[in-house]
Amino acid sequence: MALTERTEISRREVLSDGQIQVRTDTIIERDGVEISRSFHRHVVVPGQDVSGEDTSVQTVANAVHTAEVIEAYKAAVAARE
Amino acid sequence: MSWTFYSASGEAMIQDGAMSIANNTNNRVVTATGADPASLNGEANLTFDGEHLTISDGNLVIGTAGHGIDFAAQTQSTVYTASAEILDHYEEGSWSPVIEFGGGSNGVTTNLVRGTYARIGRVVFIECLYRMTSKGDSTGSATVSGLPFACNASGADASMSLSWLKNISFSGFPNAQVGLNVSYIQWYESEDNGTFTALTNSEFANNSQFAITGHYEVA
Repeated sequence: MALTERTEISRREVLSDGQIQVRTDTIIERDGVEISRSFHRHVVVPGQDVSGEDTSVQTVANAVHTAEVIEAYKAAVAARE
Repeated sequence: MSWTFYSASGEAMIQDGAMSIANNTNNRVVTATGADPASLNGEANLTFDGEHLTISDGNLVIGTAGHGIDFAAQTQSTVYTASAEILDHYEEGSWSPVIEFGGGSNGVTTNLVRGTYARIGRVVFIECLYRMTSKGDSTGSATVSGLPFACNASGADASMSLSWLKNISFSGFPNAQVGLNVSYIQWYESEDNGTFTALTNSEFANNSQFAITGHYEVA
């Protein structure tokens, strides 16, 4: 019997203002058959350093987080503080 | 004259007008396997007694996003629309809270961090437990980043409950909220004179601890 653990990015939800909601699944398998799955979430905001993100998230961020989107997001955040 | 229909696998399906269904008994829902002629099977874990549909083992899987369980037949209301009566999202998991000062967390160390969430429909309930061993050297307004979902862009800021505070100073009473359209918790203090100011790194100590619970609407 072999227990293995792996993670995969199962959600990359892009919001209208450029925020990306990311869900990471942790999957436990016994002999290749999934027996457990748990979720971890975080949000990547426009302008955030994404160098530590999964490459698939980096790809989305690089496409979505244009200079205009970053500027608009920062302005929206600044306006409410 | 007696007669019998057989499935492709050789199973007798209809004999003298009586249909044969494998593994069948009262109230089992019957499913088909294979193409025409399919074999029929009574599902032991799915029954319908004329009033209740019961899944005795396994999950009810909603196969298409945006669909869910429709409560439209519940007690009549003039407020809610059909879409507001469908439970179309449930999820529970973890998140990683990070204390930040002025948007940075340089040098912050901890010995206990826990964040959990449960999302039901468009509302997410969060819990955060955070025990610091150093507050680092970042300066500025205190926030807790890492929320599992961004907050909705409209409506009201979501007030959080500070259920545990230790070694955090304040002159009025502290409060925390998730602002519209962001994915972090902001710390404030409300003074007796009515002013409302942000808590900063100055109010925190190296051994500060806090627990936050609350809920907010997702984007």
